[in-house]
Amino acid sequence: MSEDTITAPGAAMPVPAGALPRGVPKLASETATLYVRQMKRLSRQPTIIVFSLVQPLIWLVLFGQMFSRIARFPGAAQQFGNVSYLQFFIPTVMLQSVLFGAGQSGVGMITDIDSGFLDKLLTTPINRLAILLGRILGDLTRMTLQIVLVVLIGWAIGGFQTPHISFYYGIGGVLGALAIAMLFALVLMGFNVFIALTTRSTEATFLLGNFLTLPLLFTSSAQLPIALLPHWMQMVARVNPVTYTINSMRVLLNGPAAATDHSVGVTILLALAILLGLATVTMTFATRRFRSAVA
Amino acid sequence: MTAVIEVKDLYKTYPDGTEAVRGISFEVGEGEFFGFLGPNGAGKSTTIKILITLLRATGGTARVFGHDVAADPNLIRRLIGYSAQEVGVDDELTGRENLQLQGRLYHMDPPTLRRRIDELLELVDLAVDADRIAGSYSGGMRKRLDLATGLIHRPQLLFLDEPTTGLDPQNRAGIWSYLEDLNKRERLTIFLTTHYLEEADRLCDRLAIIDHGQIIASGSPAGLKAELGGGIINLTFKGDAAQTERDRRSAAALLEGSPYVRGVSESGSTLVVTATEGGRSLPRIVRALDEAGLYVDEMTLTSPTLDDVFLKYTGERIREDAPVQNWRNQRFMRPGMGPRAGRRP
Repeated sequence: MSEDTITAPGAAMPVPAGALPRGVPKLASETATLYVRQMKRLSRQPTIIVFSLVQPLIWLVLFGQMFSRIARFPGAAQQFGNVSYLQFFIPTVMLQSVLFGAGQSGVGMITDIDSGFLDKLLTTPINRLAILLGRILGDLTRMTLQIVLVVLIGWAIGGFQTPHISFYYGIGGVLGALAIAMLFALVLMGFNVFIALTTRSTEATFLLGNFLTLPLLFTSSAQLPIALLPHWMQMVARVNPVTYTINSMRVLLNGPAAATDHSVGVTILLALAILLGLATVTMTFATRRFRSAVA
Repeated sequence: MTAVIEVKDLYKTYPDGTEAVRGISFEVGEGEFFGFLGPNGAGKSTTIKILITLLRATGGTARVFGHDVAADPNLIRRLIGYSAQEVGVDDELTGRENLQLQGRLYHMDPPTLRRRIDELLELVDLAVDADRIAGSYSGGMRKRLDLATGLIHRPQLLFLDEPTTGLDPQNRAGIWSYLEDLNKRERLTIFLTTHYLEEADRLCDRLAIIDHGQIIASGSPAGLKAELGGGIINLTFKGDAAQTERDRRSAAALLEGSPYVRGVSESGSTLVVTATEGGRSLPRIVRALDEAGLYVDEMTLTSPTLDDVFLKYTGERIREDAPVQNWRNQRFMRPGMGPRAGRRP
């Protein structure tokens, strides 16, 4: 190597040994690697799961008791689908876990940005989309775990009262309701990731998340059947996607008696259509923002 | 010398109009330990982010291994390693798991990866603690792990952005010896940015001093210091603030242009005189000041440092102890990404 000869650009320059996989297999492998990271993190922080259960449990116990007699009032029972209030309320608590759990997607994103971990990922030759996909899949898994626990605990509490909690379509119905809840989670995660990448602030993401989620829950059929809401709130509830989500979950858990507005099939299809549409919108926004952020 | 990095007329202007890099050109040869020395906000991090494909330049060209960084970023990413000022390790994973994660993202095959991990853990002295959560590591250990993750794929060029910021002197010295080893024994080309004079002085074969987005001087640390001649004489004067100020001015005027003085500059209340012949200039300076009736309170003779080089070219000292700007939140911003978009890193 002589001191003063500089090779022409591109001449005799090293190229990486071996070839990387391409396209979908590459994306899948990278997504899996980042998904495994999320799962390891989750397994190391069991307290996160425990603490995330505290609030849904308080709701389950407090609301479950507070309104337990309402569901038995003559004339009202039918609106509740002829089940105990606790059973009526379980889908609400499932969704509530999702509402709070989805916020952590955005927060996790910011943590990775602030810690420098994301830059580290970005200097590797990975498909940028894998970062987003790994996070979404990881968070969906976490929320599934939370919801399963909520349902189990609700079912256990129901064991102390009569009638016991019983799921009309059995385990299949529970899985269906879980799937709807996950679709709802996708909508929220898209929204949260978008907000997180726009504000770059954990606090703002948390605040905006809570600012929207509680009113959304309270202006839907989450606490009471729509027919028992005041008139103005009924109008709000009818345009609130949470109502359609909850109603379809109730039908899947509690059977045809819960289908007070539409038939069983229409209730479920309506929720699917609304949630798929919304998820497409929020995820498109999140992906676009993410792509421009890591371009 | 084979050029590993070639940068020509590089410009980076952020959307808010901040000109972070203003026409930088330099080359780094194979096996070289090259450094960017400058204060915070000088444009060091911006330049490194362009070279590692995380930012796009607004003008000029940057080539790494002969490939334009903007044209084929994924190719560049496979050839380079990067370790930043922030420690980019996942605190919930063990040291080994952090390395596994990084290696899998380069699609290394499992047996090769396993061997490489053991090798790196040995190299950075983390073999014993490999299976502990990184969050339980000390600052120095996390930094070493971070360095190892940047080396997992056997890069041929390592970028280090302020690698020892926030470390105590002992850990800093430790990192230095790892870096020297990598450069000398493994023949790894290293590009480093730092605002620590001692770091640049000790590690770099060659360095560029950068301020306000421009390279103001470059050369080997020894060469740069040699330009300053025989010695640096620091003078402070007796009396109250007004008196010392007046004396300092008079002394500057008196010494400026004398044959045994190469240059005069002020740093705070000290007059910094660059002497041509160090010790031999000293008595002449004393005599001249004495004859002019200027009463010196304190006088020291030191060998030139890189700080003196910086002072000579910029008229300021490097603010080594200045708090590091918290630009982490802005750093990731790209054009149009919100109210803080494009603030200068």
